[in-house]
Amino acid sequence: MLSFRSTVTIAAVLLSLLAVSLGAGCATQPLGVMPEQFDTGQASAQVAGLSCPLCAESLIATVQGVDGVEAASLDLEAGLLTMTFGKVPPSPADVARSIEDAGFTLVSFGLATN
Amino acid sequence: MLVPKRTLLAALLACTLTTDDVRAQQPTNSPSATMPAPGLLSLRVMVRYNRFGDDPTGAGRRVDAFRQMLHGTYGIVPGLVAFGETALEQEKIDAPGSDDGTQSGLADTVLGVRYRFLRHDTGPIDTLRMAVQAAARLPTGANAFSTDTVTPSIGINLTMIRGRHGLNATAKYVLTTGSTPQQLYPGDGRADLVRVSATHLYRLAPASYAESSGDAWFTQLELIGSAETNGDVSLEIAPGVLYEARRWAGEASVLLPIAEDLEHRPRRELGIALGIRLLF
Repeated sequence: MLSFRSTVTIAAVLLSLLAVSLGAGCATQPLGVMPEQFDTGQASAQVAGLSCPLCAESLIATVQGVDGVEAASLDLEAGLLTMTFGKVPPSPADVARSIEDAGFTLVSFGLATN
Repeated sequence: MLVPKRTLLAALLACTLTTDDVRAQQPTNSPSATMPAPGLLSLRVMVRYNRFGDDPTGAGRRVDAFRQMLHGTYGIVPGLVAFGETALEQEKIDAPGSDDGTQSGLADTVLGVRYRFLRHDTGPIDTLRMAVQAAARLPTGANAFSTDTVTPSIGINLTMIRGRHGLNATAKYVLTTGSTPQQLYPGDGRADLVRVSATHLYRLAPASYAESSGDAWFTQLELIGSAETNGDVSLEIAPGVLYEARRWAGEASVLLPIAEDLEHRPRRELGIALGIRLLF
């Protein structure tokens, strides 16, 4: 019969191995070319790791807090974040940072399609 | 129901190994590696009912326990959140040879932090995240629901999502320093506690999110194992449903015993949890 301490140790080791193996199987998302500035009143961003409606709202709330972003919406299935800008658009770096800070991965920027 | 401890321990280990696919949706009875963004507050209000019986301690207690819980999580900086939990408890105790009674009061407060150390986003929805957490159960008052001591705990949470499937796995060690008078729940006695869980979540609807999708229905199936240094071991299953909208979520879960080997606390015969989560 395994002792309690042995059982805990084995469980911890197995969980660690599991985490490492799962992490190793995940591809890293390369960030596309970062534009120097947004030239239009709208832009989109491809985002990864959205996972659920509550998470999507968390991202929208964070991005809308960036100076120059008037509104944001999200196509959850496609991972497409669409932003509408004010007269002075935000810097792409600020938007990129807000997406990362919200806990998601920015894959690339693009022009809005709508 | 008596099951050999070796079988139970193997089942507990299996809980940690059933991780296959999951992420962001948090199960009702276990933490997850997901967290609100910095500056956002997530509040969770929950009502729990637990019925305890088959008391092996000799007291022969049957207890109906109600808990109204408030849990808050606040994003501090990217990848780091603070959380707190407080609860009102009410217990109706039926014990032969002693006066039956009902008692109520404020449960101990739990304060902690959670740090996400791994994030691998592999698709628009798909992700893998891991977080560690440290917490302390703080005595709220000298009543029937307090341990009157500070009880620290550490834990690790894994959340993974692949399409409509999600998997959540957790492990927690509680360094127990005190006990509650009734000792109903795992970790309520003076023995240290290891709690592990594995949960499969499945998005029932929509099959794929439309551009305007704002909500989703999930089923959840949790397997929860507890092992204490006093030898008490239990394994429970908790099927449930979870509804997520953009700014709130609703959840319901039923907790049922699978197997246990208990000598120091009564058996949980049934648990019911209903909750609402709000994002601010």
